[in-house]
Amino acid sequence: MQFGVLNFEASMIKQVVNLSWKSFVRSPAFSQNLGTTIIMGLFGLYFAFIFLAMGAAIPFAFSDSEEIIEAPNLVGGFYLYGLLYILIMRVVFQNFGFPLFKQYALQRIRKSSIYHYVLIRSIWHWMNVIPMLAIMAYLIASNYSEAFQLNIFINGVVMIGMLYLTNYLAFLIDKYLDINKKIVGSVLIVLLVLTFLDAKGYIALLPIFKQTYAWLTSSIVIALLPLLLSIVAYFFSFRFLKDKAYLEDQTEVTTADMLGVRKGLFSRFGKVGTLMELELKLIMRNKRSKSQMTMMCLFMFYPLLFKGESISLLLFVSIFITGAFALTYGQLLLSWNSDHFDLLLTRMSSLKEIFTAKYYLQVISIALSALITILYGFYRFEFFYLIPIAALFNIGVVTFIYMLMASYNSKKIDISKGATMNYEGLSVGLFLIVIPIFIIPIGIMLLANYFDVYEIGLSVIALLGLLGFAFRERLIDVCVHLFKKNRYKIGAAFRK
Amino acid sequence: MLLEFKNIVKSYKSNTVLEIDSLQIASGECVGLVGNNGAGKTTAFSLLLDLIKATEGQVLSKGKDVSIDEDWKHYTGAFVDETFIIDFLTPEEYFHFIAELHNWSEGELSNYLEQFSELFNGEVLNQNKYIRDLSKGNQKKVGIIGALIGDPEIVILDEPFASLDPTTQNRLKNLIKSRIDQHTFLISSHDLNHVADVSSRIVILEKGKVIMDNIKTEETVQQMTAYFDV
Repeated sequence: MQFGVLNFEASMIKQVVNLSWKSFVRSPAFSQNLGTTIIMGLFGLYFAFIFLAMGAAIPFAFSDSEEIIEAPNLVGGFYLYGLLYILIMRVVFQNFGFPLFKQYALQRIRKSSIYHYVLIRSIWHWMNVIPMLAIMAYLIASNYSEAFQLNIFINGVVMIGMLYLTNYLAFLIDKYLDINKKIVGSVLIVLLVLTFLDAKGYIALLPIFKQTYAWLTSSIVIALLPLLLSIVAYFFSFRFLKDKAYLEDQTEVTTADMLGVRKGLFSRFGKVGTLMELELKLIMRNKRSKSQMTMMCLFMFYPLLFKGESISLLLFVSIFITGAFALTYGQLLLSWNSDHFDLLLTRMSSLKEIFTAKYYLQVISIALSALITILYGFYRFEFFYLIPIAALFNIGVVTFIYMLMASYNSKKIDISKGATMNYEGLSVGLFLIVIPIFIIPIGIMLLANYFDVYEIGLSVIALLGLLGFAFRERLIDVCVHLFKKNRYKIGAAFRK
Repeated sequence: MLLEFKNIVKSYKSNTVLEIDSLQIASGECVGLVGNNGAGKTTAFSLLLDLIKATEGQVLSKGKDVSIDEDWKHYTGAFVDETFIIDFLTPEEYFHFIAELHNWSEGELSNYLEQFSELFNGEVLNQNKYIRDLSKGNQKKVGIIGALIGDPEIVILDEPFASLDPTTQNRLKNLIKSRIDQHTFLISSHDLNHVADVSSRIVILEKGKVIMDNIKTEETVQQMTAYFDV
């Protein structure tokens, strides 16, 4: 009898799995964007390979005979350190929604089956699979290293246990504590600063993680602790779903913010200002744009990763950090408005005003990013001149590449959905955009380096930017003209 | 002529969805476009608004081809579907946005909005809610009133009565009737009764063709009702 119930449960879970596989394969994004899907798949394989290789390389990375005795604990310490980051990132970025509920709520599928499905499915979340690959490669490879000694079973149990504890803990933190994501975001920044101090040797965080890991692997009983805790977390997550998972809890009604109150800031600039204000509200009030912008904030820390590299590489970094916001916004330039595109097309806003507003929004974001990131000059003095050059290049060249590409990238996006692993609206063309953005300056710098005149290389890049900005009106006209030719196609794609 | 369809053909591949040799709309008319699902009402409106490209022929607004000249945008207001609403704004912000594009001042807008308080029924303005969080019916009201902002000469409304409750339908009809000398209306519906209540002229579309086009009288309405009774 008991067995029959289990069987029933299993067949229902199978049913749900089957349906969600179909919803994946038959979704318009899957078939229409086959090119993108393939590229994303290749990226996935590439990352899988990288992580497998990374894991497998670890046991062979230690040569010092003194060091190697402590090595497994050091690796474990780093692992726990990393999991802490992963936990916070998941709480901030992961969308813990249950897209399946609406269809299934009224079907003859037991609710508990759906909840189990949702929770078990998370095992295959890419944030779990990728570390899992590295762990497996690491454990297997350690078998082949003579000097590197560790108990595969105990270490495996601890690492996997901690991974799934993180998985369900992230869910519980998101659901039970209901913390403002901004607060978690600032915790992340604090942690980044602490890590930086740790790396510079002012504080010692790593040893704490190392000792914790050593304790966890000290005996088989303790080693089972993380796994047990993750099972407990699983059941708390299940309880949460059972008690709270009603549709009305899933749809949140927000009260309007006060963005519209400070009038006059933009109205000074006429219709272009009005349109810019609209874009700002769009970015601040929609999930996709908001989370994408938050992710871009993290890239602002990019320069800290570089030490003593060439000017060309630092220029590349500068272009990236001053243009991070423009990149996020510009690559989906018109798609952001796909929900209300017909209004923009038919009301008194002329196409030129729309493009002008979008151009200046990017210019402002680049100028602001440059103002902030120029402070990196105190870290590496080269940034004092590289950041302004990069900003000019972004303002005069990169933005126009986005605006020209916009006429060819007509993909509808749902801005109310989160951005993590969401490649709706992306296309092969967008991957190609990135090429000229970085090829032009890198090509110029390589040439300049070859003749040993890198000052001239930098001046040429800055000049290109200046020229683009000087002829902005003409360039915007070109973009508008191109758009006009494609407007029916773009409109039709947005209306789908 | 204010609006004119000239030898219009719209087809997708070999499938012709709209074929209008000539349809002229004069200033001050209130034209009701009636037809069953798939008759071509929305296609006709989309052509008027230059949202889709005509396979053949032209749509002229004040004598100018809408697909070439952008002038019509200054005197045309439209609500076809939810792509005409910006759902992350509050209704006030939405109206304000359109008003600003028409260079209206704050005062002009709030005076103008007062006349719609009956239709809004206290559920739209000052709710401190985004449009996306309003009910479908209230979203529709926002879209319809949005089309009227800027006092456009031409107002195009696609299925304005659908998904509204009967009280609101009546209020909307009264509103349209009270503004008939301010705008030229083009209103579509699959329900002849709604259109007959407000229009001065009724055009029936079927399978992309105009099959009846009459000034509204008791007689013609009876005729048309008989047509739909099949």
